[in-house]
Order: sequence, then structure tokens, then C-alpha cells
Amino acid sequence: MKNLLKIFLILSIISSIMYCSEPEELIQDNIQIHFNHIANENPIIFNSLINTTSSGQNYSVINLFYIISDISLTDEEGNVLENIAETHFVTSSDTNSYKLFIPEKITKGNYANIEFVFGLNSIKNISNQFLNDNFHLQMFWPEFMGGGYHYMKLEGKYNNDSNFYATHTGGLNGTDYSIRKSFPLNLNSCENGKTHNIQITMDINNWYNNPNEIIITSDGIMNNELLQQQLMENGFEDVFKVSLINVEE
Amino acid sequence: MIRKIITLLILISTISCKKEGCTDINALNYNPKAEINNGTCEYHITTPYLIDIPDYFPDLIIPKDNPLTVEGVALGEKLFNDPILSADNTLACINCHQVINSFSDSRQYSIGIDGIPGFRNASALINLGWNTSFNWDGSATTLEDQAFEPIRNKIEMHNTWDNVENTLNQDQEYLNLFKSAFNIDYIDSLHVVKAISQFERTLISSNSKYDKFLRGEINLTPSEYNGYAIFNSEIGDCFHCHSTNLFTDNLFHNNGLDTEPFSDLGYGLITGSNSDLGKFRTPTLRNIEYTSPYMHDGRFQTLEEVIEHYNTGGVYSSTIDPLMKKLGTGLNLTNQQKLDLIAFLKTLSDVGYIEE
Repeated sequence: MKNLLKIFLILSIISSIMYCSEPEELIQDNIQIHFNHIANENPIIFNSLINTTSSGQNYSVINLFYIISDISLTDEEGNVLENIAETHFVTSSDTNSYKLFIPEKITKGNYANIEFVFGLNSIKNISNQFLNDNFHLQMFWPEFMGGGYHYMKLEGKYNNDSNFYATHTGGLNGTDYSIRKSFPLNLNSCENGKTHNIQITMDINNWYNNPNEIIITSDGIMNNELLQQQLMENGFEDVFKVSLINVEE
Repeated sequence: MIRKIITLLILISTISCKKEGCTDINALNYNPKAEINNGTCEYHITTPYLIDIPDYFPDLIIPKDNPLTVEGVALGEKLFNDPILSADNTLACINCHQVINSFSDSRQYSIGIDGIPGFRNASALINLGWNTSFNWDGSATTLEDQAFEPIRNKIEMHNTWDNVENTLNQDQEYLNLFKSAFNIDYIDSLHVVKAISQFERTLISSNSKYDKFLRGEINLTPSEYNGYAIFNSEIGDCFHCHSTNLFTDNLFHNNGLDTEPFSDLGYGLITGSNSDLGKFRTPTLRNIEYTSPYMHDGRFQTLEEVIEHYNTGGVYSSTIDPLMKKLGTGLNLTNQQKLDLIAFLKTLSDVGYIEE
């Protein structure tokens, strides 16, 4: 009888421990993307007429809003291995938006490249498609110009304090001017809860310089197909850079 | 020995297993120590308030701790219309937010119980459930926070919340209504503002001529349609601030009304940032026909004056919005374009809204 009770006691203790404890699991790695903004290699100083385009125009940046979408990690052939984020809204009115933290997203493996779309491709760029996203109100693009959302609103002063510009890009009347970029990354995930810090840098100055030299004016450009095309080409050329900053334990 | 073992077993199972009970914080018998919900939760029963929202509006922002109920909304409406909230029982919310003016005030400045005028035009109350800030200067970030202010404001209702609570708790009808809406036996300020906010969230305008046009029920006249095009292009450039079908971007702008120094610091007074001085919240343009006078200080009596302001470009100040990019020259709209723009703005009028 005593042995029976002992066995019962041991079984009870084991079962209660098994019931209440969590099995150990591998913790997937995290990714944090930092959005960095420079002008001609220098950090942007907002509200200051200190930036100069290749055509010699001085300009300031007051507001910078843009959408990055379809951020993914790929293999060397460009096959998507991990989708990181469908959309992310960067706004200079909230510097918290300069960081995008993706918890426990990537499993063990090597990731050759990072890809993203500047703006929204034509499949996504539809009016009211993102009704409940934080950019819906601020990035609205009227139906009269094709609908959907602004890709970017870059606004400020040029030449002097009383001249204002609004470099607004977006899909125009059915034409997709979004920019798909891919950068080598060589990210090696160990699947142990580390955070991989990636930096996407936008050089504001390069929107106006290369390959198309764009003159800043106060004219609206949303309905200007030529400028939308040129800005897309400049954006594709050398506006963006990506680097793997570090890996945090 | 057997008794000891049984006691030990009970002790082990008690320590090692999670406590059962009601884990829902909204339940009457919520047990904060319980970790496993055993289905015993008991609730105060209210009737959900259902709202029909157009599919071209975002989801309504409703705080989790203040869901819309039939009882809460009805109570909020009664409070909104009752001068009992003011110190001398003479002024209700509705007196400065009149239905016929789309819940705004046709006077430039509303007059408080002591005969003292305010210094800003009373905002129209329309589609507030989508706002992310309240008041012209964004001094409140929730409707509940906003509702605290007019009652204790010395140039508005000039009351104290202690006094409001005392008054309401002596009123058996209100005691019953608050019990029914919130299951409370003592009326406090928090539940007063919750009720008012619930009512205000139901003030939805979505049946204007423009809405009917969006739904394909009617066509706009040629003039209205031209105005629609001007509004939504960089010819009129209205859409950047008055964006989407809510006709606001929920942001703050300096639209070139005044030179510096500003007599009203606006949003800058709230944020403490020089770059926000002279900025004010973008109001919705829905029911704009009914909400004269216009701007934060009610300086313009007519829509024609408003359009003329933008048509001439506004005046320079250091915080003027870069979207006022035609500063000095203006939009240069023709007279017909101005008429068309006004015709479109009037399609945003929701007659049913001011008759309900």
C-alpha cells in the first residue's frame, strides 16, 4: 500500500510539472530597419536652406513622408524567403516611424538580399485599399489623377524663405512609377533571438540630380508625367543605400 | 501517513496548477488572481449600439473601455442637451454646438455663462469618431479628454467637476440612467465624459449629395463636377489637407492667415515647439455650408471669403505650410472656377444631419 502511494505521489509530481512548464523553443531572430535621411552625404537638418542640388539650387526640407512596401529578404536568385512588411509609413512628424521593428521574423538561414518597393506597386496602389493604415489620410492621391496614394511627399523652401516646393510622387493615371530596389545584405540568421539592424538610407539630394537634373519650382508636379518619370529614374539610380549596421544579442 | 500524503498532493496541485475563475476584466465577478477562465463570468447587460458606416470610411475609433451602447448614447445625448452641467444651469453643450449649424455656432465666438466670449469659433461636431485630436489646437487626444474641458472652463460652463458630480448624484433619473448604462451607483466625471463621447461618436454625416454620387445614386451637375476636379487637383489644391472622404488629414497647418507675432499660437502652445506656432487642426469640410463662420477664429463669414483667401495666396510667416506654395501669387482661379468650387463644397451638405 505504501509503495502504491509512493508511486502515485511521484506520478502526480511529474504530471503537474509537465502540465505547468513550457517546452523550450528556439527563438527566431528579429529585424529592425532604420530609415536614415541624408542630403549630399550629410544628415538632413530640417527647416534649413542649406542643401544644394547639382543645378545649384538651395533648398530646405520641412516635411518628408513616404511609403515603403513589400520589404522582403531573398536568396541570391531573388526568391523571396521572408516577407518582412507589407507597408511602412515614414513621416518626419513622428521620428518613431524611422524605426521598423519586426519581432521574431526570420528563421535560421542565409539571406542574400533585401528588397523593397518605394511607394506602392499598381496592384496595391488603389484608392481606399489601406483605409485603416496610418498613411491613408496623409498620403491620399485623388481619383482625378488615378487614385491610390502618394509614394512620397517631400516639401520645403527653395532659393529663399518665401518660395515653396512640393515634390509629390505617385502613380499617375494608371502608370506605375513605384521603384523596386534590391540590395545585397548577406544576413546570417542563427535563430537565437538576435536583432539584425538594417539601415535604409535615402539621399534626398539625389532625387534632383542624377540621371535627370530637376529644377525645383513651386508648380505642382503630381499631374506631370515627365517629372514623375524622371523622379522615378533618379530614385532608381542612387537615392537609396542599404547597409547591415550590426547584430544585437 | 496517508493523510499526510493526501495533504501533500493537494498542496502540490494547488501550487503547480493555474487558478481558475473569471478572467474578463469587464465582468462583474472579474478575478484578477485567476489565470484560466472557467466560464463563470457574469456581465452587466447593455445593448450594443450599431452604426452603419460607409465602406469608404475607415473603421470608427472606439476606445475598448467605452464601447457604444444604446443606453450610453441615450444618456450622452441627454447630458449634451442638459444645462445641468453648467454652474448656473443655463448653458448646455447644444447651445454652442447647434444642430442647425451642424453642431457648430453661427456666432464668431460662443458666449459663456458669465457673458464672456471665447476666442475661437466653436468647432462643428461631425464624424468625430475618426479624429485623432480635438479642438482647434489639438489640446485633447481623445473625445473623452475633450469633454472634460468645457465644463470646467471659466469662460464656458464655469463649473467644477465636484459640483457636477454632486448635482447629478442628487438626481434620481440620472442615477438610474448611469446605473443602466455603466452599472455604477455613484456618478463620477469619468462616466459623464464617457457618455457624452459615446453620443458624439454617433454624430456621423455620410448621406450628402456627394455620398450619393459616390454610391452611384445620382450625378453631380457640370458645375459641381468641375468644382470636384478643381478641389482634387493642384489647381485648387484643397485635397492635400482636406483629404479622403473624411475631408481632413487630421493634421495641423498654418494656412497663411496671419503674420507674426501670432495673436493665437494654436498648436504651438500645446506642443511647445516654435515650428508649430500658428498652426491649427484641419477641420472636415462636410456640412461646410452650415458651419459659417470659418477658420479657427471665425474671421470669414462666407465660403466666397474663404476661397478668396486661398486665391490670393495668404501671407508669409515662418511656419506657413509649404503646401501654400502659391504664396504671393495665389491660385488665380477664374470667377467660374470659384463658383464651381463652391458648388462642389455644397454637395457635402447633409440635410438629414441637421434635421435629426
